[in-house]
Amino acid sequence: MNLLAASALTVRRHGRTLLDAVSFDADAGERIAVIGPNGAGKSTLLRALAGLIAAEGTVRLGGTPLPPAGPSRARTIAYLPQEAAFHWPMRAEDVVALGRIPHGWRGGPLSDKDATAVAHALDQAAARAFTGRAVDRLSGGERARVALARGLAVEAPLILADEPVAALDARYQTIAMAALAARAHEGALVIAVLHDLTLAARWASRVLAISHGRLVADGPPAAVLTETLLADLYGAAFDIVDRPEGLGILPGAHTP
Amino acid sequence: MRHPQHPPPMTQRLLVICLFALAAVLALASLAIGPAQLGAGAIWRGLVDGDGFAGLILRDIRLPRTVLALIAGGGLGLAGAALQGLLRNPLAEPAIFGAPQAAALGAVLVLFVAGGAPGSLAVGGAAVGGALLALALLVAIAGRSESLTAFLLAGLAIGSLAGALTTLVLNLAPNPFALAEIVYWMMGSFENAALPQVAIAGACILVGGALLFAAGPALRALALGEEVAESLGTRLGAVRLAIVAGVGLIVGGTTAVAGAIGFVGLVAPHLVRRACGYDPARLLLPAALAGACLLTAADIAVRLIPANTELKVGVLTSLIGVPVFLWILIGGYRAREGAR
Repeated sequence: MNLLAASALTVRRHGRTLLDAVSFDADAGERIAVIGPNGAGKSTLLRALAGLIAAEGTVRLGGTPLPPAGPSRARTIAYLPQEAAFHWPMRAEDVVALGRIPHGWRGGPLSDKDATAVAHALDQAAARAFTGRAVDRLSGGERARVALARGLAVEAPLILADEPVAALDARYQTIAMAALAARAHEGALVIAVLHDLTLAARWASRVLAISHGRLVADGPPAAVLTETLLADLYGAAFDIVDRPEGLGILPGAHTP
Repeated sequence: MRHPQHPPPMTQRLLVICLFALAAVLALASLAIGPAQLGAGAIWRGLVDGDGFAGLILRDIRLPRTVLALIAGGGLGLAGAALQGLLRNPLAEPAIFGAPQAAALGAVLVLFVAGGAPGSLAVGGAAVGGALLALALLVAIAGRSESLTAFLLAGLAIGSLAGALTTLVLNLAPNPFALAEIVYWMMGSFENAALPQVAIAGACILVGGALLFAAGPALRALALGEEVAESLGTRLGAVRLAIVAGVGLIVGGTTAVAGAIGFVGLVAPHLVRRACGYDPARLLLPAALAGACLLTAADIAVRLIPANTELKVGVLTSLIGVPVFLWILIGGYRAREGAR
């Protein structure tokens, strides 16, 4: 049985169809990159999968329909929004500990299990160095690493990450994507919206391409990330080079 | 494995103990201070035996006044902290968007237009209704956004509406005496506290406080915004409802018996927020205790400040609160906005 099964997922807002009958199944351990132009419906897809917005169609987790909002769903799905918001200048490790709320943490001292999860998440997201510092004193990229650690601390079998590396420099992009890959290796299903197509090609085991709310391509990176498909998808030309470590996808190349 | 806790639970416990002790000291001072000069022995006997002149002063005047200041301050401090947590905004003080004014308006309408008795349930209900209306409007307009501008503009609009309606009531006041009564009501004071008033306010604050403490843990997740809070298992609709109802009950219940008292909900959480590691849930109890201390101290101060008539405590809290509001707005908040 598939861990995740989305069927005819459709989202309409103000007379516009943001997501149009998207269906796909995914298994534990997969690393799925969601690509597509701005406004294609990638974030909407993630929100619908997380149950954060009303959608037609069905999302099934492990064969059963998505449970209503509450601790059980929160333990199953970790959701990382595009821009992490921290509304109070709490310390980084206190923010990461918020990821343990679905496991019953109510603000007291962390249990051994919670403390281990928080420490592991801080290390994986390369955010250990920020312990003791208030999040409002961190740079945008540093805050993004704290946000990633917060998401990892949930230790959910399904991780939905909306552009997790957009604010990160090259080194921490690699570290963050490696952390997500490690979670997939440990058995989680990771679905990440990515704009860096080379990163998508090298990180993902599978790529979903979204255009105008529709799922237009679904398959391994080499099958989806072709010059023809990308030209159609983005209305822009790409130069694709094949390297031993994976595809390199360079935008703004000669017109095909 | 060592995981540093900030602040350590010890600091938090110490803060709560210190605030409890301070509240107790202020309560004793509030019992001891008044126009009638009573010695320590007379105060003790008056409280315990309730006989004679000292008994009358303490049991009928000073004790209700002290209890009312303590619970009203505690309730207002708690209400401010909870509302700030819900809206993720350190400036979300009920008085900024006219909730106490709306509550006072409700109370005044029942008192002078419908002829209700002071300290009656009808007055309390009308005040709670007025506060709830202002709160529901605010949360409907600015509840979903973290934008300071949206909050301030919505507050301005609701506050102006409450002000305009109050002026309308003043305009239509049947006689100068009613006019003076209404104006005094708007200022807020514990001078006329008695047992029925304490009972009404106490019931509202107890129920409202229970709602706010129950919703408290959700405020912690809300520090990350509504979407992430929901993904962490928060039932947003229920939390919003509980906090609006709790704050409405507390502000309405307090205003019904003591008139409009603003800014305790701004100043009290602000004083203890840092010591609580900016954790909006951990903040609730210390904010309530700080509010109780603040309002009791303010109520002592109005008795000590020499004036022709006793200064109204609501006037004093506004005089202290508005500069604090401006200070947070200009200094601390701008720094945070800039860092974002």
